[in-house]
Amino acid sequence: MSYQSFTFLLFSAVVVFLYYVLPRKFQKYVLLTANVFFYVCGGIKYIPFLAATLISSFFTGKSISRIYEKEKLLLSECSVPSDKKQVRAECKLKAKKKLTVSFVVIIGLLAVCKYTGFMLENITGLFRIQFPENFSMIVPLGISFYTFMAISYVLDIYWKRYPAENSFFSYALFLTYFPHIVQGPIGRYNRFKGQLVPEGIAFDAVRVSQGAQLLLWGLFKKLVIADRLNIFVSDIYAHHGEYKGVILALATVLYSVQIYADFSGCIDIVSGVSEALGIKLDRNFNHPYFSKTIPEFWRRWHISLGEWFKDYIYYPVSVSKMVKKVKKNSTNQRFAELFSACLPIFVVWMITGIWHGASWNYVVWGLYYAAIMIVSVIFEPTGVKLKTRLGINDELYSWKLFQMTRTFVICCIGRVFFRADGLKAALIILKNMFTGIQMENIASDDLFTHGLDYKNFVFALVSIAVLWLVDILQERMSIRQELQRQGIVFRWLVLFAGIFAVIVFGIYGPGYDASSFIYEQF
Amino acid sequence: MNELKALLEEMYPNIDFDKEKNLYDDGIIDSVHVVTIIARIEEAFDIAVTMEYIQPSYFQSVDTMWEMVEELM
Repeated sequence: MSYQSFTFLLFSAVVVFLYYVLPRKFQKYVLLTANVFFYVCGGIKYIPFLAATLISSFFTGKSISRIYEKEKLLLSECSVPSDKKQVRAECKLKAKKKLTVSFVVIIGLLAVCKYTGFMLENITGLFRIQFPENFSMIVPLGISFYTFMAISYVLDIYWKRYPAENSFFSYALFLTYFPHIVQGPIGRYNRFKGQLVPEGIAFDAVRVSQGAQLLLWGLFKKLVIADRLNIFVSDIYAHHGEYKGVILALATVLYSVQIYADFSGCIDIVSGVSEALGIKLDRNFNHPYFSKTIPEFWRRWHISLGEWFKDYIYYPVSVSKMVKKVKKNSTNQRFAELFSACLPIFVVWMITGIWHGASWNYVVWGLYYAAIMIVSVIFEPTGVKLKTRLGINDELYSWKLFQMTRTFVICCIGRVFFRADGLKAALIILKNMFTGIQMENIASDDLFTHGLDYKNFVFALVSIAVLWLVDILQERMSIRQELQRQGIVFRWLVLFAGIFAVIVFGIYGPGYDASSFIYEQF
Repeated sequence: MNELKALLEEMYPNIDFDKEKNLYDDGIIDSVHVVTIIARIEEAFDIAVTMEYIQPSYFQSVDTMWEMVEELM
């Protein structure tokens, strides 16, 4: 059941209806039933994998919490500091053992399901070993997302950030929550649980209508913009060997817009449904293409993933024994500081690349961003000095515009690795993009022979302008709150215009099969 | 606490540590700064900052960072 399908809209409407019509004490049951129904629709064969992660993370959390409770008791009985230290060390070791077993199950499942094919492919190539043809592993729906949520839950308990959940039902509700299980945002249990008030969530017409508005905006982004651009981008990338210069650059720029409209559109759809249910999902986008630097871009794009990597990979690596050892033994303080800042960045980006997919494209994509981030850390002081010497004013609009354009161009180059069908294709596209111009491909009617005719092309550009305008407005105000303050006639006019745009201008493809979301595959 | 404040002022002379009470949430410092601050704090106070303490709430101001140092000493 894809998030942009009519079936999902109908399903969401039924869930919201039952959620508020039935007595509030049944809300949790309605949600859990909806979660199970939604996941079963995705494929009943995926259930054992999800169940294994769910059970393993829940019971590990509980047993670690029990160890810490016992630790508290033992510490209260100790009076000598050395005894306290020993108790802490023993308890930490016990908790670590539980954590390791749980990680073997949770991460093992992700690794086996997602990366077996990739590993076999490389082993076949390296050692010329033959594996059975047509070998493929099951990749459970949303495994990359729910695995990360489960890891964060177990680690937060291990690091004593909050105690384990006692109710399996409540934890299952979080991990299987249908709006975030397939494409995120990667939720955190403490934030989710805080919203599930024991007395239930009361119906609020404004909140439900604002959720519907967000859902509609998400559908517009997905069906009107992303799926329209996908036609052009797919055609150019499928025949990339035939083109050079500007048309490849144009397709890459449009792909950058497509992936933004696609992924943020999906997040708007699920956030809208969740908002209607009274549960706010974590913010996943904050107008990333207005970023002035690459680190800022990654704080504004797929925020929940960036936060996850920061909290569970970047910081642990930064304070790891290995990094500390290098710092301690180094005679050069600047080197020690740079090493401790750069190694975690490298590790984070390698894993980010691999997380996105089992392919060398994504590994190179991760390395590309690791290199940019590391260069920006190393040369930050030089950059500051250079800016002061050149008398550049950070507040100047022209300077900000230059920074935003620079960031967008760097992102576009990275997108080639993301979109191309294989690493070889990505390298050919980049080579062809910069080794010719071929203006005639875009300055003639040829431009309209790649799936989008003149009208559709113009409409795509107008839609992008609308998206850009909305993003600018959202930087300054909450459009939905502003809309709420307007008269009812105006509000309904806007709503009908949105519905009209989605129905009439949406790309539904032959036989009404909208293309799936890009991030669904991860 | 004055020792910690002096250390931070030496590291980041452009930040007014008396005024700023939401260093992390306001984007004045980011994760790279946090890691650098941890390294300096560990060295200056001979402590080991564990993962329990690496949370935004401990890096919002000199006061919250001092609270962490005191708990770890």
